[in-house]
Amino acid sequence: MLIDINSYIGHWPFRPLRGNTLEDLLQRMDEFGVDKSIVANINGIFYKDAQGANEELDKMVKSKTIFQDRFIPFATINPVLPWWEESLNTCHQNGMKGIRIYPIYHEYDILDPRCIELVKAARDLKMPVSIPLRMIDLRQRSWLDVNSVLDLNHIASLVKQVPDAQYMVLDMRVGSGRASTAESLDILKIADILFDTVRASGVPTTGYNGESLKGMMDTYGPEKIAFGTETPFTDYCTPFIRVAVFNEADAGVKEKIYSGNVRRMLRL
Amino acid sequence: MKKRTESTGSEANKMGRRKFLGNSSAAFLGMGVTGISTLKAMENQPVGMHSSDHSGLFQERGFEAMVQKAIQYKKIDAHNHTGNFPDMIESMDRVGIQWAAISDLQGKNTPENFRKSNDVVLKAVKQYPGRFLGKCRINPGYTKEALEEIDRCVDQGMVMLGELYDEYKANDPVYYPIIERCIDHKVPILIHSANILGLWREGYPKVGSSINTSIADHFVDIGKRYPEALIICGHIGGGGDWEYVCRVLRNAPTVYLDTSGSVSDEGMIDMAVEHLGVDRLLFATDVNYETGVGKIMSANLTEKERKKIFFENFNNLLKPAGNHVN
Repeated sequence: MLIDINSYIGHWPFRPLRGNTLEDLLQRMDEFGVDKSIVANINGIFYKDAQGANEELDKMVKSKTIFQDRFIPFATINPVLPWWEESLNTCHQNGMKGIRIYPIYHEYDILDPRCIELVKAARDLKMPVSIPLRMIDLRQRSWLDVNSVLDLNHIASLVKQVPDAQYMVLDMRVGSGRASTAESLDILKIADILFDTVRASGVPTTGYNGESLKGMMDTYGPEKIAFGTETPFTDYCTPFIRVAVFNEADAGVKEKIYSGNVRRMLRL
Repeated sequence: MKKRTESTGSEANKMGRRKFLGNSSAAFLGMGVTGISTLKAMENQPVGMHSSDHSGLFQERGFEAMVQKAIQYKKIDAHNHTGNFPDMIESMDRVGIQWAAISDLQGKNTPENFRKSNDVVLKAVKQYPGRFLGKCRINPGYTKEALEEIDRCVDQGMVMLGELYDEYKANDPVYYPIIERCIDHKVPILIHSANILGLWREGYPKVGSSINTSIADHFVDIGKRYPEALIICGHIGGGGDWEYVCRVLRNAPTVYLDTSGSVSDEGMIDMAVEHLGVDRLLFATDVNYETGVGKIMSANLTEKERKKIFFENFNNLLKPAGNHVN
């Protein structure tokens, strides 16, 4: 089985996207053999009330039986909004399996008490919290876009506050975004956390950003790595090539990366 | 000039492919064979993610066919650098790159250091025959030493200049004698670029780039001055606004663009094709092996176009000086 833990539908205000509907995404998944994709609605980053985007996603997923079989919707929750708890509960009741948060886009500190309360509430609902370290490479940002990214120290600081929640780190950076302190590293190593593969190289020589699947595996162990594509932002071929050429992983490890680890976390 | 053969590279690549296939299923092998016949039949049909040839049926582990197909294309990497050479060759083999044009960027770019860098490259080219093509590093600010070094490197078999970094913008007059020497030698010249917001619009951060980093506009200037030169704008995906690059380089019809860089945004290569045409795009990785290959596989290209970008376009640039590979 193959599960993609990092996909989106919806619109990005700074450039046109393609393949950004459930129909398009399903076509890609069929062609490449992806059984299920965790999907969130990009619009939730930009709507003042992210819940509007969750309702759009819920309606779309429920419009076809096959969508319900193949997509695992995650809710976008902004804890700054006074009604975040109501949104979270509605999404949970609607069958959403986890949440995505965007501290930089929604302009709050990851250690804001409201964010910590949100993560605790998600934990109590057994909803994993997925956090993209960034949405774009800052070198190509629009003048209207944000100008900073998260790193693994930020993630570790949140995990420290709510160590018994489940986490997914998306657009995982093992180069510039690495955990730079021993404390961060220790926290992440024992957390119930998955790091996606979208940026990490499967070949021995790594590029400018220094990403390496072997480095991730050596640092965090094979149980913490899960396949992700970041579609429709990243081209849909590269993420598959990365894992396919990762010869240092045997068949058992690849099975964990392809779906085993996320199936465990989501109890699938 | 020497005409190169790729027998060694091809064999090494086959070994790498076997290693890769060793981790895969028999069904995977079958898909590879089918892929070859499909390649011939669909030479002129778009085969990327957005072509109309998708069946709409679920294909169990369908990505493996794509990966196998990607490995099979003959490739020259127009933009790579020195490193741990055995690891580099292993990385090249895993994604099916036969040749990589490499340069060394270690140390401050003084005449003493650029000579050392070029010696490292010359040694690697000899040590690993059939895998690396040499690229000459110079600093255009040292005109006399740079010109002497170009002559030395070309004489010893280097195929081009580059990656020339950000000591000077590509349209700076210090480049004029350098480019004229390249024209004399009939070799290409690759110049680093990064179209970061702060480099083309006042008041924004330059995000790690120097004030002298070249942007697409500078390539338009130098391309107009030297239309006969074989100028390559470095890495569309090397950070910076690739949409900006595509729009601006329309006005530099003689300038080529390499496809390397860590950024592999969906639609990037398609936009480059739309604005610049297939013939001006050169496959490259800049040490990002999977993104290098994946972005070309994802683009909506015909088989013929893919082959051009992966291999033929850059090889054609090597032909005037007789440095092309077979």
